[in-house]
Amino acid sequence: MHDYTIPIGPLHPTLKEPMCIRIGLEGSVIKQANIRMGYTHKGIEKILEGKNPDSALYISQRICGICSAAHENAYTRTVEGILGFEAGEKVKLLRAMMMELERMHSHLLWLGIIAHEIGYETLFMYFWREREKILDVFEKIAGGRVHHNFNKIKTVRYDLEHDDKRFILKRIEDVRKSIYPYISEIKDDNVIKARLKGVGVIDNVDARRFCLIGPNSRASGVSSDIRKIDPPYGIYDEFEFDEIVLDKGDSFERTLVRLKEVLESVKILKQILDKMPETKIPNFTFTTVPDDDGIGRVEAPRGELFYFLKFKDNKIVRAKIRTPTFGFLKILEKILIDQRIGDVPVLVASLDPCFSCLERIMVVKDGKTETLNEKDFRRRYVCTR
Amino acid sequence: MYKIIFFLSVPFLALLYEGVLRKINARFQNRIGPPVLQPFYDVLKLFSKKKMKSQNDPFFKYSPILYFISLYALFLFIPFSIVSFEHDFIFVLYLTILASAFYVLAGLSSDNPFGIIGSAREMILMIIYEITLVITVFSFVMKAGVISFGDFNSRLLILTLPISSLGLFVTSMIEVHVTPFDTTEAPTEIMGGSRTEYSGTNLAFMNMSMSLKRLFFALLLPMLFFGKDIITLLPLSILFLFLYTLSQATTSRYRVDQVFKVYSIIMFLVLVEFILVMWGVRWV
Amino acid sequence: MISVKEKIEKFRDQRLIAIVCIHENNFYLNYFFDDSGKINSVIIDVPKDKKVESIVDRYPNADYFEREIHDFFGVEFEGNPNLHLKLFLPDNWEGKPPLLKDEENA
Repeated sequence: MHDYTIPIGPLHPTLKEPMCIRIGLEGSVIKQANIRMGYTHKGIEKILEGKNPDSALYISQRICGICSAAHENAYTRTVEGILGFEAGEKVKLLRAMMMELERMHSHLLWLGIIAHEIGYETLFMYFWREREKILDVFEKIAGGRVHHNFNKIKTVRYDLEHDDKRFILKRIEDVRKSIYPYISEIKDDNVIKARLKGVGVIDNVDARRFCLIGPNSRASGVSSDIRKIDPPYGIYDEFEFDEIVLDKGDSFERTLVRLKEVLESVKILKQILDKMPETKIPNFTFTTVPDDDGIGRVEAPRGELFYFLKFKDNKIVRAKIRTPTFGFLKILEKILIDQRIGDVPVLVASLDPCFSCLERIMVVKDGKTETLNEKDFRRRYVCTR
Repeated sequence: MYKIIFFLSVPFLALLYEGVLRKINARFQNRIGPPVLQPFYDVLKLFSKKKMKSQNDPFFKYSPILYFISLYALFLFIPFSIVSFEHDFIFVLYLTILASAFYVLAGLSSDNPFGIIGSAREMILMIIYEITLVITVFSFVMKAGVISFGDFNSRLLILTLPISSLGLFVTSMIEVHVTPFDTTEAPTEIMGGSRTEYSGTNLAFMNMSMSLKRLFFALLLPMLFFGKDIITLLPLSILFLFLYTLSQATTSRYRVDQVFKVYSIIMFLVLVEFILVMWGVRWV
Repeated sequence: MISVKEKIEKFRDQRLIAIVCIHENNFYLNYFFDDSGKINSVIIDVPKDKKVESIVDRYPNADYFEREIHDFFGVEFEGNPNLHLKLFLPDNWEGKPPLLKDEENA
């Protein structure tokens, strides 16, 4: 049927995290694509079973390095929804600030990656230089560049100190001034346009049918911003910002959507810092959750992150985390058909998949004791396939 | 006598140029970059690795060293004619095409899908750039009115043959694998192209051969454009190296079919100028 | 076979968010839909060893959810052509589906 099959992955320079796409080629055109996942299973959904709400928060913060704040906010939104608790103004503003800062750093990371995929190493270095300023802000506020440990149920852990506001404002203004010229630069660059325009078009009908979310759907004309339709903690109603919706749905528009969202986040951050009151944050107390289940969602940088938690005896009995990547990865199999192999890095990277978030279920031994023979032990504990 | 010294020092000069190129590239990207002598350390490290034979094909074992030798032989003619005979510019063109053929063979014999795709891309591009290379070099040699590189004495041919100069410069960009035309070795798409399966000594030869090719074009172009003056040749070669780095650092990569579209215009214009030169030679 | 499509018919134009499976003696499948901010959910009971109708032809992204539930809980979805290609587990996996609760804790 086709000439030969090449595997893209599990280890390949174009993929930042392991996955295997087996591509059947005819000449230089792709005729068949088959995605295989599961190379870095962790163990999150099973590990979370049996934990009390405060300990489980630590685990959910560490599911993904790029969208750490999104996971912990989805978790606290779910648990506070079950408790029926509404946090104070200062706590809500601090949480929104961390989510917007994270959106900026994740989009800047992605912009560097798409530049690297098309061979533009210099632009990759420049975008990541801007990202360093956001990571400096994270380090000043929370002490960590990647995992921040910021939320606690019903409160947050760190407060802003007296010169933090000025520090943050200066950094985000620097980022805004550096990123703003790139919009017109990218629109004028002929080689970037030749590589990104018309590649991987997802039209409006497909976007609705495949239930796309996040910047991918916004580039195709389907608006799906959780910050607008179901604002987390009710705080985003108070800010003025635009949801960037374009219409052609190709990789170029996906790039533009994310570039402009960085600037929108700067706008929101300035409004947050304006409104921040000088009150103290409440102290932490241990949580007791009634026997119930609940859902919560936030707008992670890649789309809608959805949590379902079921509690019994103050312990988690079922945790289901539906990450944005899992929601939209199906369309990758469709847009790869009839494209050339030179477009594969751009196609895969333009959807912004994050496999850290995606694979969280691992084989763990059953509750009963059983003696494992060497085969089972190797398969389960030494390495995943 | 200095010609023999130059010929023996060609590999060292090539690696030094490579180091300078990487340093300039890093400075463009706002980083410090590796030390200038880094390519020497890389080659020494690769030579000291254990030999790994993943195929038993003779082409797999010997293509890199043949690639290296055919490129090294080019320096007998450019820039100082240590060897010179009638119509030796045809022999020089033959050697460059032979070198590219060995590169393609290296990729095809490695039986790795990425190697096969890399070689296939190089073959597709060879169809267009080899023709242009031959036509432009013929234009230069005929305009200079000589029949061998040894007698080449004309200066500032860049002014009388502007289109051929531009065509030759763009062709050299494809040959030395700088963006926007480095489709052959797109690391994010095909992991290293023809070099994917190699390791150890053979990989060292593949890398050194690419450096030699860069040095060759950095010396050929000033010689054809500006004349064979020893004093101006070296600074001008550094200028051309800088131009390659500038192009590498400030553009992204085209796909194979896009290279065709962009390049066909140049090919057409170069052909037109070649016909004009042929008319000029006959009637002037 | 347990039918699903008629129960989710009224959510025809909405976006499928997720399919969640809970194991408490029987399986309970929660289908979550989003209607411009409002979340609607349908819970379908699946007794043991019964098959469930697949909604893959209407919602293509349900393919991954159904395969994940099949891999980890053992629920069979009828009408999904890719069901027996394992999504996360290795191809030579022999053993109980991993997320099933043990008999005494269910």
